This record gives sequence, C-alpha cells and structure tokens, in this order.
Amino acid sequence: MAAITYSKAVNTSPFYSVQLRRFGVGATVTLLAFIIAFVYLLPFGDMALMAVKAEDQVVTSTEAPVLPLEPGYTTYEGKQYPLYNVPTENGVVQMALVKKGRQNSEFYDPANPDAGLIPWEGNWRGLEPAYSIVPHFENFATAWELTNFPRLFANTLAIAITGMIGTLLSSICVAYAFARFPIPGKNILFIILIGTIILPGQVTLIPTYAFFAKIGWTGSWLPLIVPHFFANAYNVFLLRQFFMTLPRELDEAAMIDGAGPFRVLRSVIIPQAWPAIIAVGLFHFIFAWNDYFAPLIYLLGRPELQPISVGVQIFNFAYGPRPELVQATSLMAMVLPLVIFFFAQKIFMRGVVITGVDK
Amino acid sequence: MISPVIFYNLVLSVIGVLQYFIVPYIVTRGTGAPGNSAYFFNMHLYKTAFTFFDMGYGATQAWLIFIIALTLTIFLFATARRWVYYASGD
Repeated sequence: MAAITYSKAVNTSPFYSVQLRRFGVGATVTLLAFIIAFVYLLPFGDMALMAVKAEDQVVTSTEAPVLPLEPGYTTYEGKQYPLYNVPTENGVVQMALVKKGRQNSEFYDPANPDAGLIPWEGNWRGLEPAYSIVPHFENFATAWELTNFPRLFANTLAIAITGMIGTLLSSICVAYAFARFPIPGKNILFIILIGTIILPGQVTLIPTYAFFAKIGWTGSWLPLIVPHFFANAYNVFLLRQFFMTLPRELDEAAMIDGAGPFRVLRSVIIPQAWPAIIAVGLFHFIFAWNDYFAPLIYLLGRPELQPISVGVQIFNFAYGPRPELVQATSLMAMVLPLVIFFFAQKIFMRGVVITGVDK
Repeated sequence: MISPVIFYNLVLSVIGVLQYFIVPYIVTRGTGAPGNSAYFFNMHLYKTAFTFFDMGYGATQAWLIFIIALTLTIFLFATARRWVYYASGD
C-alpha cells in the first residue's frame, strides 16, 4: 500500500515528469542525430579503413572484409602455415593447417604445442580462415613518398588561396555594386548574371579551353586562378542577398562623415558581412581544394604543378590500381580543410554574435 | 528577416533541379529505368545528342531547358518583390 502511494506521489510531481520528458526528448533527438551522422559518416569510415588495408586485401581479394583483416599465420617446425577456425569438441579453436586433405587434415594448435599434429575429419576448404586485425599505417608513408605529397600540398594550397583571395575581392565588389548602386538596367544585368548559373559548365568547357589554349595559358596555373578574379555568379548572388539585408542608414551615416564608396564598403559593409564573406571564402577554398576536372585538363603533362586531386591519380595509372594508397592520400589531403573548417566555424559563430549585438 | 537567404536557395535549387542529371544517370545507368520513372529531361537531351548523335536536336533541347530555367528565374525575381524583405529598402 505504501509503495503505491509513493509511486503516485512521484508521478504527479510536475517537476519529475517535466524533467523525465525533457530527458526523453533530448535522448531521442540525440539518438536520431547520432544515427543520421553515422549514416553520413559511413563513406568516411570506409575510406579511413581502406587507407590502412594491405594491397592484397583491397586489390586481389574478391570478398574483402570491411575491417583491415589479414589471415593469421603461425610457424611450425620452421615453416609458415595459415590459421583456420576449426570446430572441435572443445568449441572453435584457431589452428594452423599443416597437412591438407580432402577427407581429413592435420592441424597444429599454437596454444597447445605439446599435442603435436592433431588429425581432423572433414574438408578443410569448408573452414574459415582465422583473421586478425592488422592496420597498415605505413600506407601513409608510402603515399607521401610516391606522390611527393609536400609538393602537391603546396600546389593545392597556392591555387586555393590565390583563387580564394581573387573570388573574395571580385565578388564583394560586384555584389556591393548590385546591392547598393542605382545602375541603369540593373535587373537585366542581374538576370544575365544568374543566366551564367543556368548555363551548365559542360557547355562552356570547350570554348573556355580553346580560349586558354589560344592565349597560351594551358600548362600553367593561370586558367585556374585568373577567372576567379572576375567574380562568380553564385558568390555574387549570395553576397548581394546578404548586403541587401544590411540597413542603409549606416552607409548614409558614414557618407555624411565623408566616406567614399570604397570607404563605406571597407568600414561599414564588410565588418557587418563577415559571416557571408567567410562562407564564400570557405566554399571557394573547398571547391578549389577538391576541384579535379579543371586542373586535370589545364595541367596535363605538368606533374610538378598539379594539385593533390590530380596527383593522387598516379595510384590509378602509373602504379596500377592501389585504392588503399588513394584513400591514404585523400585522408591526408582532408586534414587541412577540416582544420580550416572548424576554425572558420568559430569565427563564423563569433561574426553572427557581433552582428546580432550591433543591431 | 531570413527571406533573402530563402530566396537565394530557392533560385539556386530551381536551377539545380532543372539540371538534374548525374544521380539518375549513374543510378539507372542512363536508362531511366524502371519504366522511364527516373528519365529526366537532361538525360533525354544527353541521349539525343550523344547516343543518337542528333546534335542539332540535342542543342535545341538544351536551348529549351535554358529558356525554361530563365523564365522560371525571371518569374521568381518578379514575385520576390512581394515576399523578400531587404532591410536596406529596394
């Protein structure tokens, strides 16, 4: 009787039930987030696991296990023998197959060396090899040396950073003009700008390549960097949308104090637009870091200028198919963008807070 | 307050969806199977131009999808005046 009153009292307590409900909702949301994050991270996990696999396991084995496993071996009388999971009266035991036979085979138990050779009835082909986890971290060193990774890394960084500076300078200026100045036919100009997004890149590819080949820029970084100094419709549109949300009163106050258009841009617009500017810079940096097609066609035959995305291809062609080295190189290439992303996110959050407080 | 960003995403996704090609092309291996349920306009364009090598008709189709996308974009820009709020006026 007493127990029932106790439980009733607990259940009717509003504090307890609200807390419980909050905990339940929180736990459900977290669990759901974990499941979704897990699904999204699966390819990354596969990549990381493949980066530490042995060549045999990736290339030659038709039924490659997901984990970096290798069949175990043990030495018996100076020779190496493969380990198998052998079912015996004492359960499954890992034993080395010494003498193969169709009807019965002889095994050696490394845990029980005094027993010598143990006869076993049955076909050894039906047995499962005993795998053990053997991560091959030396893949990273091999990939580093074969690709000349520092040079690739420097190339990628140079292309990405110069392109990022170019795209920021030009896109900010163009977006500022579209957001603030009364230009005749501005709407038509803007629709033409959006039209360049509608036009797929494949359509403009061949004319662009022919143009760069005619002016002799192929085989250099110029076609990868210079176009970004002439703005890009996506970034202009994004920045323009952001600049339009900034109140005009601040510009006007600066103008009354004698600021010209560039002074207004530098001292009023840009400090308020940091989140959008960082987003654009980050998008461009990651785009340039992963860009494969443009460097491939413009830097063909110039391996000393190629970025990582193209340089990693030597493991598909020059050294035969070596997926584990491709993944190891890609994993090394991911480190810098990830670090930059986390730092940028910090600044990004700070930028949001600053604009929120200032208004 | 966030309508400029919504508008940005709306315009870009309308254009992006009209160019939807890579995913159905890879998933269905260019067939649009089952029963053309994953057969998008750009796949038809690609088939006309690069499987049947009817470049003229393929280019016409490309122009058609370009004009449709442009019309939709202009339409979106026209409606934007009603629902997109910019703090700077305009």
